[in-house]
Amino acid sequence: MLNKISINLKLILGLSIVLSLIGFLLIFVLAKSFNIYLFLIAIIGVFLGWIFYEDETAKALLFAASTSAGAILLLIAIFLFIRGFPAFQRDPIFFLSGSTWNVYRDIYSLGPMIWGSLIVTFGATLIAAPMGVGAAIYIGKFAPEWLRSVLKPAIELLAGIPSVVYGFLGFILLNRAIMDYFAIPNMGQFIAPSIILGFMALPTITSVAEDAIDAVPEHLEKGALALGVTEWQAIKEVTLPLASSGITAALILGIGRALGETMAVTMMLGHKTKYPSPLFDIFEPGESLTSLIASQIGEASGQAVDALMGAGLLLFFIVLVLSTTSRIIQSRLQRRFRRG
Amino acid sequence: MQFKRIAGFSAVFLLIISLLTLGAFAKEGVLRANGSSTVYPIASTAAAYWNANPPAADTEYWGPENYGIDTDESLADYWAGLYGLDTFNVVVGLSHSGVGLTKVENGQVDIGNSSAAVEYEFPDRDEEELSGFTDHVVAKDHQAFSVSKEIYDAGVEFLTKDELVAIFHGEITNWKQVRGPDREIQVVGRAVGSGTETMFRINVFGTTDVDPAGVDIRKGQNQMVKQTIIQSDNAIGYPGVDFVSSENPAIDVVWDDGNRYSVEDAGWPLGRELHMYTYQGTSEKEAAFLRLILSDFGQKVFVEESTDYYPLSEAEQEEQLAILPETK
Repeated sequence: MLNKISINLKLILGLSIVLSLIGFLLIFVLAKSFNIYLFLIAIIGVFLGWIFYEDETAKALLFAASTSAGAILLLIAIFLFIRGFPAFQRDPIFFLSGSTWNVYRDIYSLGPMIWGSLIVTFGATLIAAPMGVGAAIYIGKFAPEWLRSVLKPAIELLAGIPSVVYGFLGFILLNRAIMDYFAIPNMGQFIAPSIILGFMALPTITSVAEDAIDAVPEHLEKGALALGVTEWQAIKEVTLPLASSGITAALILGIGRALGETMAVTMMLGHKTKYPSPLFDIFEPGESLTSLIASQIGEASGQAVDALMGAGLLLFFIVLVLSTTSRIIQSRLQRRFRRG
Repeated sequence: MQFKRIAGFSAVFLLIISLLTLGAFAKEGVLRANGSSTVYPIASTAAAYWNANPPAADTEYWGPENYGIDTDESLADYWAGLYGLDTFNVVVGLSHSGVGLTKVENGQVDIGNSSAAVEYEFPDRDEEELSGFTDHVVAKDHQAFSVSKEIYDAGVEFLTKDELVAIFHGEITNWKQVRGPDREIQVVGRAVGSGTETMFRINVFGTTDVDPAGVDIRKGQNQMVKQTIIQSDNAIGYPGVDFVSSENPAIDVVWDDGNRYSVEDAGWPLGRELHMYTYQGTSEKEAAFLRLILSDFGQKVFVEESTDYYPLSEAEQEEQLAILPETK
């Protein structure tokens, strides 16, 4: 009898927490008004639950903590899709490949910005890929222990510098230096954020590539050395080919980082929403997808908001594909060595 | 043990509840404003004075007798008292014109600050959709034409309207074509869609529907425009008059009427009004704060003395005060 009542109580309690939380979220998302009472019911529920059924409540809370990240990703994806889809619906081909972004005439196509993102990211990769992989090889294979213990945290610290600091340095120093050195008449050139983003993507590439190099079983390299090759030959012929998929994953992650970086790019780029002419002129001012959103969302209204949401959706999709690809490659690599 | 735990949790629980209620109560009495960074200095200085509520004897911050006001009440008490209200706090937030207008429309704030009129901020909407907004003009801003110091020093101290239009259309590309040194012109614009850019286009081209091909780069904030002009040795831009300095001097213009104006002149052709919008009429609470800003005291202290903007003329002041609800 008592047992039955307590089960019912548990059920009611659990349901009231879950339902009030869901209701709270729904009201919050629909933004009608901030309904504090549902949230209070959930808090009271948790509070009572903790007193009477501590084990179950603790488990439920831990479950909620761990799954909320996934739920948030899902919510972001759904929101972006709902808000961003109308921009694609009208004329997807023009939206992605046209050449006009005119707020005053409500004509929106992302062509110049997609091209701008490509230029900036390509430039960044040209810098970050050789430097990052080179640093990974040196740190993983050649560096003496003391140097390694200095270099590794130093490169990781590079990732800890806020992007606004990179942007500020780039705007104050690099934009002007490029203008003077190449005698060009304008600031906001594509090449400035390319260089800065190269450094910003460096830590990602180095640390993931170094993990990949580390993951190659030592006995394979030792075997090669025993056959009389030099240390570099062993790395070149054995380690690098085996780590190549991991290094690819590192590069993809680095590219994703450069593509998604916003603050530094927004501060340095010239926000000109047109194709550079000639197309590969890295000294022209321009716009990337991220800096477009950052610089215009505050002032946008009506269709412009839709178009910016569309740009956000596109970015989200590209970065999602890049990081998923990189994940798949990494897990394949791990499986291969575990079997071998 | 059980008791201790219940007591502990009760304490935490009560704390959370009281914080939440406090938050809800705090929100109740506050007047909120949000929006344009251009209007922000005026609104936030006024809010600072309002919240500090200096006594009437404090002639440095209030001193009503200097403005022909006969009262011995503190600042906020007096202005709120005009409508028979108790004093309340004012919180001013900073975003963009469009954001402020959207927030005031959604009821998230009481006042939406905007550097352009609402019909320019929401060009997609017709008059009826905008009828909920009540416009209060609190000051005027002059948009300066500012050039890099090197250009000014080399002798470009004024430009004619035709020259400016040609520069922005990319027809004039070298400073030597306009009495300057042999150096290419770098044109620094503002983010498209911003209140500043909209008013610039209206004032110079007469319409927003132009594509000024000469603009090389665009920056999101006045501060960035100023920095870019200072960093370069060949730039021209149009920041707010607040953002002109000896490093990026303002130049004069010779306008359509053949007159030469400097940016401080009352007839400067690139003027624009700074707005504080309310929605669905103007409540007494909103009116109390707006009346402070529109008063002789407010115009002098919040506009003239603390910004580089221009106060309203006497007639404009009367006109704006007439929009507000009658005092008690």
